[in-house]
Amino acid sequence: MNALRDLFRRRAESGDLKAEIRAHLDEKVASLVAAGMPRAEAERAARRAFGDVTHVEDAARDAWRMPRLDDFVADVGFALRFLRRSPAFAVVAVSSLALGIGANLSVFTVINALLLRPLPVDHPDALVVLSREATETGRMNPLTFGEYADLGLRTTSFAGLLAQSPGDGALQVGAVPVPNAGERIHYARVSSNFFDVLGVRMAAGHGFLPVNDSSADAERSIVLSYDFWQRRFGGDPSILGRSVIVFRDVPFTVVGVAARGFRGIEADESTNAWWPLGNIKIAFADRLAGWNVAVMGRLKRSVPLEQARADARRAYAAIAGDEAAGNLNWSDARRRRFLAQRLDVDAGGTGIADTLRMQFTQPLYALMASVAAVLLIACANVGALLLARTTARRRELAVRLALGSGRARIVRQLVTENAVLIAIATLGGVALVPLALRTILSYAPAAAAAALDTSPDLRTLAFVVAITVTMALIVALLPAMRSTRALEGTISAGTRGAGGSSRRSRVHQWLLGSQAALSLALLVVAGLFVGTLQNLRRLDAGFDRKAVVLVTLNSGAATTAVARRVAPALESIPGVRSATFYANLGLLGGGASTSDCAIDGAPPGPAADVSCAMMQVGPRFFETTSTSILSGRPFAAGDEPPAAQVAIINETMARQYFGDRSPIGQRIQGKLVIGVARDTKYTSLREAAPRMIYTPVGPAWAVADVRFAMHTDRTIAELTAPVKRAIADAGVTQPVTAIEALGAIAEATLARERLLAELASWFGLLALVLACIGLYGTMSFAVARRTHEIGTRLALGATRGQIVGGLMLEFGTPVALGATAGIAATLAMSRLLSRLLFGLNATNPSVMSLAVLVLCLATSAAALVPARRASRTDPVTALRSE
Amino acid sequence: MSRHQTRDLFPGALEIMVLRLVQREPLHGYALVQRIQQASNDLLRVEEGSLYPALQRLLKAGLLRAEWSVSSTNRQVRTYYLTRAGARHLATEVSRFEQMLKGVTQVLALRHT
Repeated sequence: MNALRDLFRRRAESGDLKAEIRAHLDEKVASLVAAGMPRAEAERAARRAFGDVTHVEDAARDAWRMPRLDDFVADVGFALRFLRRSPAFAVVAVSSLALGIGANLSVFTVINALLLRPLPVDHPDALVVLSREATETGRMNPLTFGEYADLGLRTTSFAGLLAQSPGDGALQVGAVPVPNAGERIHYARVSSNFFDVLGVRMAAGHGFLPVNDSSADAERSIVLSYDFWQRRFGGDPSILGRSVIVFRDVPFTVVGVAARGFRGIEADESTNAWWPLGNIKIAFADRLAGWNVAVMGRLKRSVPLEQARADARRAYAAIAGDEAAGNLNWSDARRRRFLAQRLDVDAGGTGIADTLRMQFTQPLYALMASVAAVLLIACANVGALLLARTTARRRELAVRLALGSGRARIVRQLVTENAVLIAIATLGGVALVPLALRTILSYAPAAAAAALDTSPDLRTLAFVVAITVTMALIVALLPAMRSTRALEGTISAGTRGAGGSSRRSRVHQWLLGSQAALSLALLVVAGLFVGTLQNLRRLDAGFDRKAVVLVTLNSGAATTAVARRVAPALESIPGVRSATFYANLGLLGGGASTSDCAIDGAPPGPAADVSCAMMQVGPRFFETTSTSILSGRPFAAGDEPPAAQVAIINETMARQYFGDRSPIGQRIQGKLVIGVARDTKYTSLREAAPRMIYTPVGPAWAVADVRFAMHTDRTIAELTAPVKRAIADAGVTQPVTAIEALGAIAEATLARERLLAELASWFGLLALVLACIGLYGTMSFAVARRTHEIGTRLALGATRGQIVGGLMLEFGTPVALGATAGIAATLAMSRLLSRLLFGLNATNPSVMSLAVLVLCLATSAAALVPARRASRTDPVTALRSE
Repeated sequence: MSRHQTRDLFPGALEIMVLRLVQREPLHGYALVQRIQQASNDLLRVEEGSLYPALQRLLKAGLLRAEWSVSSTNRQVRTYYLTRAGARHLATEVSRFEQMLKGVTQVLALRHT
């Protein structure tokens, strides 16, 4: 503080001082004149008595000097002038570091948002997630509401357990349903203790009354998120007490608005509203106990996670045992599979984001490693350029040393120069973050991109400090330390001197080699990811990716009776060749409904896996999705249960169950197999098609999820209005929540592969460009320094080709060695990488050779320019200089 | 060389004298020079200019404060006042100076006996 005050005061003081000295002289002159001295003589005498005015002023100002600060300001000014004097260097150095920092910070920000940032709730560190995992496959299998309720009764480690089941729907204001009205929202059906367990307060109104969710009739109440309340209702408090419709045309009363900043427990999707889970009884009276829920809990104070896990596992084992014993109709295999599952209790302070986390955790860490490599290359690059420059400045520095500048002072000045460089680059990097973040987030689902909280926090700040310090250590200190140590005796040797050059060039070779290694590794990785993406895009999904459009109604909306009215209405839209509907997911809709699919009369052994995926389909399903029937026939009128019990199975199931025999006419689960359909992808393009069984939809089932499919060449934009009109005309009040092309859905399942392929390509390219700039810069400086040597060799009869060849060999060797190390590194990483690849091996030789070729071509091009410039040296000029 | 005179003073001597004079009455720079010469019966000749760096150091240390005012000769002058910290500093410095002087005098006295 004092230093700051003095800094301002010394300015004022300097003006006062001048005036004061003038007054002093005036007074002296006046007194001398009064004593009888002539004026001119008096003035001279006064000055003589006073001494050198300028000297006195300087000496007086020195009283205010702050040597460290003043030196620092001078150093910074000097550094800025220095950068301005060599703009090419400044631009290359600053921009390569800035790109490196920007990329690192952006990837870290996404990692922070998805994996590290705690939920804005009371003591998030005491929250845990309870999940169920199949021990054999590692597949997550959600807990049911019944199991959740039992866990609450049979455990003692938790201050509270909450359950939630998220969903998408439309919210419309008012108690009377209006067709196709309302805004699409993401809601969560939650246990009534939800806000209490999390410790989330209400910004307005109140939360839910604590009731026993399974027995009591649920209150028809809804709590809005603060953001949604602001956006949709302008923060109007009169919304409390009004009716809205979110589910099955039943009015709910708005009772509260959750605290600002709380967006639910899903890190990857903002929840707009919460309503009590018991309300699903409105539509599915008897299904609450079996309803899938996500379960979180709050540990009691002083109960460690391990203890809670043991407690919950003990309770779960009892619950699962009762459940398996109670379901008499389960097959042995199913019972065994059910009991092989394990309950897990994990830290849950960062909330739930299973899908996105499972999909993107590894890719994000892979990208983090790539951008770290890019930054290392940039640092090595700038370090090499700075080293070359300090070498070129040896004379200047040596002269300053000889003139009495302290070595510490010179090191400090060089460090300041580099620090200024890094500071500018860091600012530039931070400025790049918003753009880079938008790019990265564009690969995530839109809802997730909007929900991820990417605002900077203490962790991002710590990260910036950490990388800046690392960079400073690599970039700044290395050249600064090296150059002054080798300075003594430089003046006498002159610029021709070779003193310290061998050590210096060894540093250069290390830098070049490591750059080549890192660039090659990044190029190989990029090649592998691009190959993966291409393989998946070329893949035959089994259905038509181009001409199928899917329509989703507000979730849980349609009974199959409604669906039977809607499908013909959609078929009547001009340009739609056929339309159908299906239930229980599939066609990349995610999820998996598996069941026992045993062949009748041929009971499999107890260890055999007889699970399969199921799809219930409406009329013309195979025709609409262009899924070919390989043998037998598609469903026809009269095939619907309960009148008929027929099924179509897919190739995989036919092959695995029946081998070479024809499955037609066989029975599975009491259903007659009438056809074999081509394999189609079920949840994602990556996964092999599961065994699949198709059955016709019964006449009046209430199914959880119905979707419509149309075969059409029309675009989504052309279809939107006619589809909505057709559905309203069919007398359906539920709003349309999505109209999507099946191809787009399939492409969306490749988000992670696209992210990896495209970003890794950019980073690979960036690394290559940086490495080339580094090579070019290092060689240019080296060649300029060795003009004399090259001139001599030319004068002694070396050909230009020999000069070029010699230089290429000299600088090509570390690059080649580095490239070899890079290949070794990728081979070492192949096991890690293989989990992210599809259809090619991490050691794929053509990708490797392509990467090597690209590196060779690029670095040769970069090296050839300075090498040829050197070979055109005029020996006479070179030898005459100095 | 006129600079010799200032160098003959030990470091800090000028500062103590300034503080003592300003303690008696607030003074401006020119008047300070006059007082030092008068008070020392012209034994000490301070180069006038050398006073100002000393004043700046005292200002920075917070031992003096300065105000612009009009002198008895009707000129704009910068008058220096002793601060409380200045008074404390002066007291300790004077006692230390006297200790030192006593010591030096005792040592010098040895030669005659």
